[in-house]
Formats: sequence, C-alpha cells, structure tokens
Amino acid sequence: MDITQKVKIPAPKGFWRNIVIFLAVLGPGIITANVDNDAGGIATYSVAGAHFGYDLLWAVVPVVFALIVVQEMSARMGAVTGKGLADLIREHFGAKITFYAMAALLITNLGNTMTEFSGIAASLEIFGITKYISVPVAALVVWLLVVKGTYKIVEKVFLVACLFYVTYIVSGFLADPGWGEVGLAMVTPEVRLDAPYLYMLIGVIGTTIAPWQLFFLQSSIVEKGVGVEHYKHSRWDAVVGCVMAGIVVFFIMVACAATLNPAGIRVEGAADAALALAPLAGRYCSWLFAFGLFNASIFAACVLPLAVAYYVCEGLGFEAGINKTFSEAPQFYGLFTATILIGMGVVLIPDFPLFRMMVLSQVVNGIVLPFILIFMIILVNRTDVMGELKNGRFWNAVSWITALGVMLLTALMAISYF
Amino acid sequence: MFTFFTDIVKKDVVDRHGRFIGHPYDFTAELEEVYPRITNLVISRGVFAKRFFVVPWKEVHQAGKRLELRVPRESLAEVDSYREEYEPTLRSDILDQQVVDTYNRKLVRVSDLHFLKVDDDLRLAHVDIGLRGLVRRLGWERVVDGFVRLFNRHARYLNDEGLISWKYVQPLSIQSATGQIQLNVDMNQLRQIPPSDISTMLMELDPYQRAALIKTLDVQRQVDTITELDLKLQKDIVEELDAQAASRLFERMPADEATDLLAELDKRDAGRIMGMLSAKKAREITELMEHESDSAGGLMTTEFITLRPSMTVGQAIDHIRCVEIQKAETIYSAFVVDEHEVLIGSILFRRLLLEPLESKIGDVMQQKPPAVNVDDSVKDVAYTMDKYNLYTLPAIDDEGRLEGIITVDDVLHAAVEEAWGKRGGL
Repeated sequence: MDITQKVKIPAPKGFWRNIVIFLAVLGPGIITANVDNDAGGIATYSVAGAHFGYDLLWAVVPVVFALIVVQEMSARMGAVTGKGLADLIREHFGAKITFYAMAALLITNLGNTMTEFSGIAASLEIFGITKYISVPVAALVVWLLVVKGTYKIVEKVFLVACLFYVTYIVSGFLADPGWGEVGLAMVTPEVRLDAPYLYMLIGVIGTTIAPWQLFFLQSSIVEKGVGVEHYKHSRWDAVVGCVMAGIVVFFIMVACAATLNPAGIRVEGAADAALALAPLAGRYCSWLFAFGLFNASIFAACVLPLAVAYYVCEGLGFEAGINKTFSEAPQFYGLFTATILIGMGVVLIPDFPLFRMMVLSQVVNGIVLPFILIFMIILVNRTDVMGELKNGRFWNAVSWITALGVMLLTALMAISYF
Repeated sequence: MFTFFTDIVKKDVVDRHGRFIGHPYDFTAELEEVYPRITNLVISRGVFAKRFFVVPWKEVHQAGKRLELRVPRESLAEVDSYREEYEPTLRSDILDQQVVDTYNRKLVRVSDLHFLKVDDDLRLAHVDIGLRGLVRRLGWERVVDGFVRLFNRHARYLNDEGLISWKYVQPLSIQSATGQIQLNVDMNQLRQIPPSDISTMLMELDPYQRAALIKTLDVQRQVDTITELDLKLQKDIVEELDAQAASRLFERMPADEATDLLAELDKRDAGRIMGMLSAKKAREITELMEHESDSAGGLMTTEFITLRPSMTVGQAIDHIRCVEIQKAETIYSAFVVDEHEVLIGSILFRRLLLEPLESKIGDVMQQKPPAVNVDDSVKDVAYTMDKYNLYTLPAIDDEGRLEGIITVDDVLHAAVEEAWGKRGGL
C-alpha cells in the first residue's frame, strides 16, 4: 500500500493551486493598504481635492507606483530574511543609527496617533458628541482592545467597514466631474513651486507611503511565516493592496475636487469634507462620512501605536509583545501607553484645529520618509541580507527617485517659505 | 582592568613609529573559550568607503589612550572587506545581534561588549544588554549619567549594569559557509533550559537561526522542543532539515504528534520520511491517519501498555519495566485486554505498586473502564476525562477493541485553543 496516499494534503494543480496559495497568504498587503487610508489619509486627500481641484491628481499614479515598489521590497525582505525591518537596521547599522531612526519613527507615530484621535473627535462631533467625552473613551477602548488581546477578533469588522470607501467611488461618478478634464489633469503634471502646493504634495506622498508602512508589511509577512517559496504570492497581495489604496485616493480627490472645489469650500472640519459625499447621500452625507472616518480612525488607532511601540522595542532590544506582562516589558507598554495618552492629550487642547493638524502630521510623515527609505534601499541591495533576491536596477531607480524626490520637495518647500 | 567595546573603538591605532593608521573596528576571538581571547584586530580607515587592516592581537600593545602596533605601517595589507576570511567576528556576529541568555532563559540583544584587559591580553568577559549600554553606544553616557545622578544618586539605572557573563551567552550568529552556529563553551548551559523555554525563543527567531538552534540540540531535546510548537512552525523547522535528520526526529516523536506534522508536510517530503521510518512507526502513523484530526482517533496515540487479566501483579510490573516502558507515551495507567484485544479493564500504576505481587491483574483491575469511541469528538473526550478525573482515556472501536489512548495534554491543547484561541505574538 502506498503510504503517502493517506497524507491529507490539498494539492490542486496550476492555476487553482496558485489561487489557493494566494488566498492563504492574502491579508497583510490589504490590511496595510486599509490602515494606510486612515484619518490622516482621508483628511489630506479631501483637503488636496477641495483646495487644489484637479491640480494634484497627476501625482496619484506615480505615488501609487512608488508605493507598489516600496511595499514589494518590504514583502520581499520579510520573506527572505524572516526578520522585521527594525531588527535588520539594528543588526546592520548598529545601535546609534537605529536609535535615531526609531526616534524619527516615534515622532511620526505621535503625529499619526494624534491624527487618529482627531479623526475620532471630528467624526463624533457630527453626531453632537463633544471631543472631551469621545476622545478619552475611544482612547480607553483602544487601549483595552489591544492590551487584552481582543483586537484580532474585531479586526475583521474594521476591514469590512472599510467598504465605506466605495461610497467615494460612487460619489465621484455621481458628481459628474467632467472626465475629460480629469483625464487631462492626470497626464499633465502641474508642478507649482509655491509653499502651500508643495506642502500638500509632500502630505499626499507622506500619507500614501508612510514610514510606519515600511515596517508594518514586512513584520506582517514575517509573522505570517511566508517563506521565500511563497513570496511571489505575497508580492501580489502587496500589489493588490496598493492598487486598492490608490483607487480610493483617486476617487476621494476627484469627489472633493468636483464638489467642494467649485463651491470654494475650505475644509476646516468633518462637516465640510463630508459634503463630497453629498451627490450620493444627500443630506445624510455627513453621517456617512462620520461613520467612515470613525471606522478608519479607530482601526488605525488600534494598529499604529502598538505596531510602532513594537518596532522601537525590537530595534532597541527591549522585550515586546502583548503576551508579556507589564513588568517583563515595561518599555513596550510604556511607549504604547504614552503614545496614546499624548495623542489623546493634544487633541483635547481647546480649539485644536483638527483638520489642519491632521494634514500637518502627514507632511511630517513625508519629510521623515526618505530617511527610513534609504536604510531600506541599502539593506535590500546587500547580498549578505538578500542573497539572490536583492534589488534589480529598475527597482533601485524607482526607490531612489522616491527618496531623493521627497527630499528635494522638502528642501524646495523650506526655501519657498522664506 | 575592564573596558568596553565602545571605548576601545574610540582609540587611535598607531604603528611602531607612532604613525596614525586608523581606529579599531572589529575583533575576532576564540569564542569556544570560557572567556574568549581576542585573536585579531581589524582596523578601519576612512569614513564612507572604509578600508581595513587585519592585525594579529599579539602585535598590539595597549598603551593608555592608544593602541600601538609592533609592526610598521608598510607591512600591513589593506583590504576592502575582511568578513569572508574572518568569521565570526565580534562586531558583526555578536554586537547588536540577538543571543540566548542561558541564565535567564531568554533572547536578548547585545548593546555593548565588556572586555577584561590583563597586560596585553584582551578577553571578552561580558555582554552588556542594559539600557546604560545602549546609552553608551549613543555617546550620551556622561550626560545621561550626570542627569540621573542629579535626581537620584542610587538610581537603578546607575547600578544595574545589565552585564551577562560570556559563559551564559549562546550566540546565534550563523557561519555562512557551514550554516552552523558557533557553539559556546560547553553545551551544558543550553541543555539546562527546559524545552518549552527554547520553544518560546524559537518563535522569536528568523527561520535560519531557528533551524540552526534546533540542530545544536540532541534528538530527544529536538523532539521535546518541537512538539511544544505550533504545527506551522514545526513544519517550517522540519522542512529545513534533511530527510535523514527529519526521519530520526519522527522516529522519536509520539505517534499522534508525528501524524499531525506529517499531514502538514509536502506530499513528496512526507513520502520520503515515511520510507525511512521503522516499519512499526510507519504502521502506527498510517493507522492514525485514517482518523479525523478532531476526533478521538485523531488525538490518540497508539503507544500504550497492555496487560492480560491472567498476569500477576509482579509479572505486570516486570512486563512494564522491561518490555514496554520506552515506547509508551504515559505511565499513569495500563490497560487490560482479552485475547481479542477487547478492552476489559484498566489499572493505575499507583494501585499496581500497592497490591501484593501475587494477586491476579483480573482481580485488582478496574472493570469496564470509561472509554470513548475513536469517532467521538474532542468535546466528548474532554467531558469524559473531566467526569471521571482521568489522565489517560482509552479509545476503542465499534467492537470494543482497544485502538489507542488519549492523554490529558493532547485534550488540554485542543481545549485551550478552543477556549482562548492561540496565543499571538503581537
């Protein structure tokens, strides 16, 4: 009797086999993409569309393309090395560089956490709930969800609620934006050198390719245990996630450009941004928007502070993980809790300009991005790290252009302010 | 006198005529020694495009603020990279890397290295894993120390040095040529760590370190360690082993766990391993594969002790001692079967020890012991075990024949997963 016949393994062939493996490794890329479209993302894209019309639309395609390249690199490094990016930076660049890289990551993360709580405050203000109640309650809920480990259970709920973004696509079509004009704007980059424009552009880049994302996808791949042999499927997962994120970005900007820009509305709060959904939802648009913004905010608030506390501890060699107790991992819990408390505290300042600060935090993301990205490019080009699978020439070109391009934009912006 | 890596690399290196060469960059050492002696010094020169010189340590004289070589600059060969030739080195394989702290039984990251200096001899004494070591690396030691002292002269930060003696350190750096871990001092330190703690460490390592660490253990400890892990991780580790090493592992694994793991493997690998197993083990596994994994049959193991009612207690004890003890998974109780292998009784070992040696097993055994059918669910198994307070539960087929036994640890595993889910990392 052939013993192996008894081994129960689903072994479909060819196409179906690929589909099965793809579904098995599916997830990290798509989760990353949806956390990426967080409160900061929605705010930045809304403001970009409302204030600049179609002027920034051309940037969507190259930025999403750069995002694909960067995320593919993350997935590849995770699969090949089995280590997180923070670990790799520590092991190859030493303690000093790691410390400053982690400090930069932590600063952007404070901004991001503040943004998520701003999102919560702004969305619940539409329902008449004051931020002095909504934000502390949300912070407590987030802290408990994460520390008690129940977060994984509700993650699916958040993901499904991300279907909210579809409303922007519908609204974009209903607003009837004059597709000729949109198409023209897509292919005619309009680079202006005034400070507000550059500020907005860096914000769009920074929120689409956020520094934490470089760590996040790689760690998810490692945690999922995707090996080199399955990494080409993970690569597709990453690409699908990026394209999904890109479509959402495109339609948020189009919907806002078509509805808010002609009316000359300056987005200062959730109620203004919500008007972009008016073609679809009419006077219920603000409820719909509030729901979407709230979901995106709380989803990211559960993921980001925890993930960043984890990377920082990983890089600096402190114990980390929610399965450890507070006395085993004081730095980890300390960082995580402090991030939430500070993020919450800042938002509670009276007359805190929620939307303006949300955009600002994304600009900070953009300014920090090149510094992290460069470490990643150096690592992904090293034979002792990546072996055969190090970067090709084209991949290097795209990622270096992204890193240096953002640095150049930052320099231009700084100059144009004076 | 003690000195830190961070402090040494700040010194200047000069040749015998006092001409500046560069700064210390890296060291090689005899890592197998209790306190490894430094054997070579790597000197770096330049900032971005670094060039290196490698000098045997015996040519180095430690003179206060600088290191003096006993050779002239001209005799040194400049190289672009030294790693291929000298491996492992302290900077690339120990500093900033994860190592096993065998004293506290956990993975730690090395912030700094602590050397013992005796005349011109330099030995690695401790690794620094503390916060202060990290601060020292950043170059802020004096500032931060002063600041802390300002508030609390006896702060834990200042006294708690975070040093671990090298003899308790097991490096995980891998020699790329052989794929082997450099083994430390003697294996005893690693051997004293319970398998479950090693399993916890394995989960935090990357796949290559994982496989390398596993390879340093003997087969029995490999089995004990691997069976503590998730199936997914078990699979990853076994896939890194060659077929022979894998089959040795399977040979020692309890049949039920071996079956579950084999079902996870690639069909071809599974076939190859099955071909290399002993006929008996292969048969056990084949039998177990016929059962659903979440039924009693899937949980049970076919390695157990059977007795006959006609045996005396003395014979039974002898039988257990010499024939069956090494292949049975648990030794809480034995099961009594008739000539058709039908289960008729069970007896706890404790009871066996207390009875007079000449009593018949048939008289002292518990008759009609609680049992489950091989097709019963995990739930039925757990309820039955709980109801009768059992550590081992027999599983029988429709004719009442004893097919296998289920031990409490297998059920606990399934029940815990059901009740609280798997314990996640993040």
